[in-house]
Amino acid sequence: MTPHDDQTDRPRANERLVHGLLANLAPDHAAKQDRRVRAAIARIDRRDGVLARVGRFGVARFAAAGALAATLTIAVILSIGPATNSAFATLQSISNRLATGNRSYRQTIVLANRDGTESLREATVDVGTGRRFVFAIDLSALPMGPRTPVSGGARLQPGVAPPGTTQPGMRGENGPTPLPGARGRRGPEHGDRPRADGSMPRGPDGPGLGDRHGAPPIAWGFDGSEYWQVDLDGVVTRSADPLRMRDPMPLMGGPANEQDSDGEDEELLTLQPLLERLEHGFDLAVVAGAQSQTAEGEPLVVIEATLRSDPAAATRPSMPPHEPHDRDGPSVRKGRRGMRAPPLPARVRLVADARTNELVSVIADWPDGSRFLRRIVVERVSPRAADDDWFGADRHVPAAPHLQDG
Amino acid sequence: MDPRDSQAFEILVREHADMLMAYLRAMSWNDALVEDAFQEAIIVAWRRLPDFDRSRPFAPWLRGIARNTLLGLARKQQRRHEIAGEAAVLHIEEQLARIESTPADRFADRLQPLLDCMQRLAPEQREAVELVYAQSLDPRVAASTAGTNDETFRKRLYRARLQLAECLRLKGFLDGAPA
Repeated sequence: MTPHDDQTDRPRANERLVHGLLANLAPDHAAKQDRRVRAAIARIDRRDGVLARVGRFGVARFAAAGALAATLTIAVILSIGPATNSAFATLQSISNRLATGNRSYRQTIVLANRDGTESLREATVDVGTGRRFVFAIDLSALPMGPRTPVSGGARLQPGVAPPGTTQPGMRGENGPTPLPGARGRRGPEHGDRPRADGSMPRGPDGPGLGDRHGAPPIAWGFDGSEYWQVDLDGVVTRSADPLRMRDPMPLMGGPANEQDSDGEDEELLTLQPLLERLEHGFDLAVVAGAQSQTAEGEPLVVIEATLRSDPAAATRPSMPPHEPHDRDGPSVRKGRRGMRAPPLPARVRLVADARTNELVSVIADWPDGSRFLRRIVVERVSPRAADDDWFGADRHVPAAPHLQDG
Repeated sequence: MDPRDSQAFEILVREHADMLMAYLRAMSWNDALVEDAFQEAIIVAWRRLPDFDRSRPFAPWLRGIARNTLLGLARKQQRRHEIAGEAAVLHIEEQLARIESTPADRFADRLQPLLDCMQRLAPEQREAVELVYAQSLDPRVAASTAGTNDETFRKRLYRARLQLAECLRLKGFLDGAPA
């Protein structure tokens, strides 16, 4: 602190305080606070261990201070039991850890076709600090058709729509009809930041894109400030909001129309939203006696999440949270149409490094009859993100030779 | 070992998180430093919890930890010059205690006078505040959005904050000499 301050600095001090207070006005302020607190608590857990954190603080002594919220929460916690508590804390720690540092995961995804058959997709999801992510379909692994009956199918060609599809998509799997105004609303240089008056710009405002249906998206992500999407033609679309609500991914076999999907199904593929979903409506358990270490001898922790069967499960926390989980990022849909939650997996098995709580693998199974996803298998691979630019769209525009090879 | 205890600590942290961030932001313009200090302060608070005198209020104790943590980090990063002066920090602490004494369930609920004062800003100033704080735009991007250059925009934003501070002082929300 500098020694020259005196009473005359008070207006400046008040100006500084106003700066601090104004940060509370941001719409995503509550979500950011939630992440900050969770990150700090996760660090405490990692440092001291969850059990070490337990018991150091007497809530009864604070009850006298009028912590009504604390009292209510504690009453619910008492009815849950320590095993669930441990699983919930571990899940939160895994979730927090996923948002810290750069990691890559290979995904094998089993999709449900509308005719009852299944399709396979391969994809990579990179996650990074600050909820950044990149989800990229592995074009070279596209099977070009339903798994049964076996059919070869033609490779995708950029800008060429397979017969019978309304936009370029999988052969034998008609892509969804483009949403009204969904494509070409803005070009690469036209984000949809709100105008100064708070209104949102209306498309089409991208040069030459107004009448364009566009190729199917092949990658999408969040670079820390904007969501982006890259299509098969290499066209980048950016937005301050998640894009899936406008552009379901036909290459992922997404549902056919706006009523069927607002993109939340695809969102679960980016891992962090899936983990956050598990905090509500799932019974959580740390699996005793499960695989306890890697081939290298590193200890592992296994959590199984089972979707509760009662209809109200999706809205009830898996463990009583301390605050409403009001976060931004891809899992929050304040004001989005319908607010319909996507079909959730019936069972999810998470494996994490027991020392660091870094996610190692995930197997999620959706119930029979699921309209989109059947199963995803996620395995950690060597990190692909060598630098922060990796999470930007420019690094994921497909190279022309690759496209021509299909 | 009682699972209730860890939850209670987290609840208390959440209850004071808005105040703590406002305090740290008021002490330093460096967002990265503020974020680091917030994290460290929570961890230090947890570690020192056994020493906390439970007959005293939690918020000033937490602010004291946060202040020392921020100063320590700033010293390590040779950014101490970026931290508000001692008198300013003491004044900010007094004002936060004053704000906390107003009846409301949440810290955010106590900020209604700030919203009222925003309505009294000149349109250009209000736009600057909304772009940077409500829409979280980087000031350079906000300047471009507002159709002005970086320096002009920063001055506009600075004057807007001074105006807000003065308005809050006149409302009795903040204390201090006139701007």
